[in-house]
Amino acid sequence: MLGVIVSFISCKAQTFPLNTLMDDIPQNAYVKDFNNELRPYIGIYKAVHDGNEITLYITKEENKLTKRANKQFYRDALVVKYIVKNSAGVVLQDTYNFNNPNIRFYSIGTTPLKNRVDFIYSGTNCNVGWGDIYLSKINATQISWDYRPDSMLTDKCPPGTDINIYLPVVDNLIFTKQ
Amino acid sequence: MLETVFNFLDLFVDKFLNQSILRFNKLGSAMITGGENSVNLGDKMGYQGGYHNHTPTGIKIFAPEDIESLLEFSIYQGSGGHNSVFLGMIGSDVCSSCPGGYKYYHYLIRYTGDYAPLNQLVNYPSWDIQVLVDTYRERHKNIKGDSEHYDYQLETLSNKGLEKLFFDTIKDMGLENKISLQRVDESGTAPNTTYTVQNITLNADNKLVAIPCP
Repeated sequence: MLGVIVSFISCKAQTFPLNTLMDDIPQNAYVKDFNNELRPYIGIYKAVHDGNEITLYITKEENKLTKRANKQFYRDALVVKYIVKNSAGVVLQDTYNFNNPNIRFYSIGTTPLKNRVDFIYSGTNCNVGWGDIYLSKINATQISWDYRPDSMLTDKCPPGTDINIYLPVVDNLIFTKQ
Repeated sequence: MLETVFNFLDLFVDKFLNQSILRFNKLGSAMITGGENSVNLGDKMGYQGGYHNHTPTGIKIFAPEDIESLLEFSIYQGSGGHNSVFLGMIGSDVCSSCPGGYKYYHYLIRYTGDYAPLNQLVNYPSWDIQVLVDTYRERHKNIKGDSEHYDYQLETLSNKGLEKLFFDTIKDMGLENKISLQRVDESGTAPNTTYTVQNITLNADNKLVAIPCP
C-alpha cells in the first residue's frame, strides 16, 4: 500500500508558478495560475478599428498542453477566438465559429508591472502576421490591445490563400467588455 | 563575396528600411516587393542567397522560417556551392540618440555544414515548424526579462539578446555549429557609412563572443 502511495506521489506532475521561464519548466510539469491573474480577462470584448468590428472571445483553459522544442508541459492559459466584420457587417475572419487549428492565439504569461497578459499569435493563414499581442487591464470593463506582428516568408503558402491580417495592427486600441 | 553583399545592400538599405512593407532581394534578381509583414521569395533554385528586411514591429533576428529558407537556398546550390550561400536581414528601431535617428540591426547567416545532411534538413526536418515558432516567441519573451540581454532605452532586445535568441533557436533545430552568424555594425551616416563585420560565436562557457573579420 505504501508503495502505491509513494508511486502515486512521485508520478504527480510538478507544479510551477505562471511566469516560470520556459527553460526551467520540466517535461510534463504543470504551470499553474496560482494567483488567478488570468481570470479578470475572461469574457467577450469588442472594439472598432478602421471601420472593422473586432470581437474577442477570451476563455481560460486550465492544463493546456503546451508543446515546445524538445519538451511539452501543461499550463493555465487564456485562449482567444475572434470574429472580424467590416462596416457592412460582412464577416472577414471568424475563428470563433470556425476552428482553424493553425491559427493559435493564447497566453504565455503575464507582466505584472504593466498589468498585462502576454500572448502568442500564430498569425492568420500561412502564419502571416505572427507576433506578440499584449492585453492590459484598464478597469473592470476595458482592456488595451497592442499587436506587434513579425515578418513572414510565404513561398510555401498555396497560391490564392487569403493572407490578409484582419486583426488590428495597432497599439493602445481599447476593447470594451460586453 | 563581402563586396557583393555590400553592393547589394546599398540598393536595399537606403530605400527600404523603416517600412512595414516586406521586401526580399535575391542575388541576381529584381527586388521582390511583398505586402505588409509578408513576402513571397519565389523560386530559390540557382540563387546564392539574398537580403530581406524585418519590419519595425518585428524581432530583428532570423526566425525559424528564415533559417529554413537558408537551408533551401543552400541545397539548391549543389555540393561544393552550398557553403557559399548567405541570407541577410536588416531592421531598425527609432532611436533618438543614434546617428540618423535609427538603430540598425544587420545580420548575415550561412550554412557551414556538410552537403549530405541538407536533404533531410530540407525535405524531412526533425522539427515541427509550428512548435518551433511558438518556442521562438516564448524565448523572446523570456530573454526580454533578462537585463543582460535587454535594451532599456529602446525597450527591445539588445544585439546580445537577439544573438542569444538566434543561438537558442538553432540549438532547438539541431543545427549547432552548422550555421554561422555575422553582425554588420555601421558607423557614420549615408553616404559616408562604413561597415565592420563581426563573427558572432559562443565560447566554451556558452557566452557570446564577437570577433572582427580580418
